[in-house]
Amino acid sequence: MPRIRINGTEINAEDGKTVLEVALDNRIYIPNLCYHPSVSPAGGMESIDKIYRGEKEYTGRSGERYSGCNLCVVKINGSTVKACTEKVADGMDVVTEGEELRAIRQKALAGIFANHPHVCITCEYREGCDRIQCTFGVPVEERCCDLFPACELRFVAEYVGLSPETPKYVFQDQPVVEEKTLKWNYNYCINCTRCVRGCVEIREANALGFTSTDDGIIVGRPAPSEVESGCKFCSVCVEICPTGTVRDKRPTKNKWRQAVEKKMLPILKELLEFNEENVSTIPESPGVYRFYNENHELIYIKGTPNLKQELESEISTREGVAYFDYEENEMYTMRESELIQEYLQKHGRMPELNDELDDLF
Amino acid sequence: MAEAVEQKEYWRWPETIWVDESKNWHDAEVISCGIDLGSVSTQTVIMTDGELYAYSNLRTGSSSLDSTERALNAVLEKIGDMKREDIHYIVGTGYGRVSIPFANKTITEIACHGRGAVYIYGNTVRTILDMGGQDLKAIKVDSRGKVVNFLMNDKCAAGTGRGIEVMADLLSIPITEVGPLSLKVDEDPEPVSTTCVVFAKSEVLGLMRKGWPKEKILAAFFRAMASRVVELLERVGVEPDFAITGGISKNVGMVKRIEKMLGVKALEPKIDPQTAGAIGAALFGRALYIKSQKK
Repeated sequence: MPRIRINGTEINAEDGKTVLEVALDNRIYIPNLCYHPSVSPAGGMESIDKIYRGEKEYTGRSGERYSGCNLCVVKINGSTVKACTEKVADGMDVVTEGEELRAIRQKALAGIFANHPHVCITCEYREGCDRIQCTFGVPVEERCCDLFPACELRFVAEYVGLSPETPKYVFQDQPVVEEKTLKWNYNYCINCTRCVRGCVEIREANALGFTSTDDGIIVGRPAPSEVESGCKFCSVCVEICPTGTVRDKRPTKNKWRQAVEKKMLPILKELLEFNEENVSTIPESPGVYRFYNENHELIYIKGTPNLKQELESEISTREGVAYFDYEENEMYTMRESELIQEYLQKHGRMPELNDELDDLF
Repeated sequence: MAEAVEQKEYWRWPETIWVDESKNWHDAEVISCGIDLGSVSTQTVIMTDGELYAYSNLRTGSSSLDSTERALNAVLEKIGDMKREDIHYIVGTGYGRVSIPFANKTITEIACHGRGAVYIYGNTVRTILDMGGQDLKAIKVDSRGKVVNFLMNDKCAAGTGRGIEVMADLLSIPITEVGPLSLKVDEDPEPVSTTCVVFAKSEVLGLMRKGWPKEKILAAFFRAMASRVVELLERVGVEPDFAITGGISKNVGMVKRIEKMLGVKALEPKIDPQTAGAIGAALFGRALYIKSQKK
C-alpha cells in the first residue's frame, strides 16, 4: 500500500487509485469537473466524425481525445500534473492549493465560462432570487438556469473563484431539443463528456458522443434523434450532468440512474468540530449555523439572533452532531430560508433535524 | 398658510379580528397559539384542541415586538376572559419569528405554510403558492403536508403584496377594490413590460397620461405580475390540487389570471387564507405541547 503525503498529511493510499480519488476519499477537495466517480477519466474516449444536436449537424475529426477540464491540477514533487490521471506511487508529495495552481484553475474556468452563462454566479443577490426578474436587467439567456441552487459548476466556480479575465458570455443560440423524456438545452453544455461516458459505460447505449473541432470538443447525439441514436431512456445523463443541460421532463427512477454515485462537492466553508472550545470562539452576533454528522452530511440549518448563546445551549442538549459551521448575517431568518431552499433543491427533503416535526404530522 | 390636504391611504387593507362565538374555550384541553410575524402583516391564531377558535390579522408596525404584543392582545381582548397564561403553547413563525419573546418555539414559515394550507384546504393539496407582502414562495407538499420542494424570491418586490399596494396608491383605488376592478375589461390588454415595482410605476404613469382607464391599467399590471408568479410555479412544477395562501389570494384579479395561465383552478378557502402560516404554527404548538406532556 503506497504512502503519500497530501498537503503535509500522511495518507495510506489504495493501490491503483488516482491522486484525485485518494484525496477525495480522505475528504481533501481538489476542484474537478469532467471527473465523475461512476465513469472512467475523460481522456479515454475517442471522438467521432459528426454529431447532432437535434436536427443540427456538427462535423469534426474522429479518433481524437478530449484533454479534460484541467481544473484538478496539483503539484506532485514540485511538478504540475493532473490529479485525475496520475496514479498514486509511494513517497509522493502532493500539494493541492497555491497561487500558481489557483491561476491555472481560474484560467481553465474562464475558458469554460466563455461559453456558459455566469453573471448569476457572481451576483451578490444570487441566493433567494428566482432569476425570473433581474434587478440589473441582464437578458434572460445570459442568466443561470433554475438548477442554480444545486448546480455543480456553480459550486466549483465559487470554490476556485472567477478571475477578472473571464470573458463576457455571449449567447450563442445553441439548439434546445425536446425529446420524448428529456429536454436538452445545449446553451448550458460545457462539453465535459460526462454524459457521453455515462451513456457508454453505465447503460452501454452509445447514444451520445462527441466530435473534435478546432474550437474544441462538441457533445451531442450520433444521430438526429434519440431513438435513431439508440437511447434506452435511462436518464443517466441527467443524473451525471454538472450543469442544467439535460433535464427530465418528468421525474423517473431506475436502477442505472440510482447507481450513479453522488459527487463530493467543494467545501466552501471549513467545518468546525462541534465542541465547547470551538463554540466559545463564536461571536455573539446574529447569523445562521449548520450542523453536520460524522459523515459531513448536513443535518440542520437554523438562524438565530445570537450565535454563541444558541450554540452553547445546543451543545449540552444536541446529540449526533459532529461538525458545524456558521455565518454572521443580520437578516438571519431570510438567510435560513435561502439555505433551506438550496438544500431542498438538492435533496428533495428537509435536513434531517429540521424534520424533527416529523412525528407531529 | 397652506390648507391641509386630506390624504387617503388607499393601500391600507382592512384588519380583522374574529372569534368563533359558538365555542367555549374553557371546555378545551389544549389551547395553542400561532403567531406569524410577516413583513407587512401579523396574524395570531388561537386553536382549541386543534380547531380554529380565534384569529387576528393586523398590519405589522415598525417594531416587531409591539406588533406581536398588539396582535396577541387584540385576540385576547376580543375573546374577553382568556389570559396569556391560559395558552399552553405559543409557536412563532414568519420573518420576524425570533422577535416574539413569549413564543415557546419558533418554526420556519415554510413548514408552517405547508401544514396550515393542508388544514385550510384539506389533504389533497400538493402545490401551495404563498404570495406575501414582500416575498413569493412556491411550496410542494406530500399528502401529510410535509415540504418536499420549495422555491422563493425575497430579492424582488415584483409579484408581491407591496407591489399591489404601490399601484393602489398610484391609481387612488382602495386595495380591496383593485382585484374586481381589473376584471372589468372585456379582454386583457398587453401586459406592462416589467413587473419591477419601481419601473412598473413609471410605465403606469405613462399609461395614465395616455388616458387609459384604470381597470385597463390594472389588468395590464396584474397580467404581468401573474405571468411572473406562474413562471415561478412552473419551476417547482404544479401538481393539483393547487392552493394560494397569503394576502394576495384575496385579490380576485390576480387569482383568476393565475388560474387561467396555469390551466388549474385554485381551491376555495374555507378560512381566511392569510392565516395559513399562523394556523400551521398553532397546530405544531398543539402537537409540541401534547408531546411535552407525555414525557
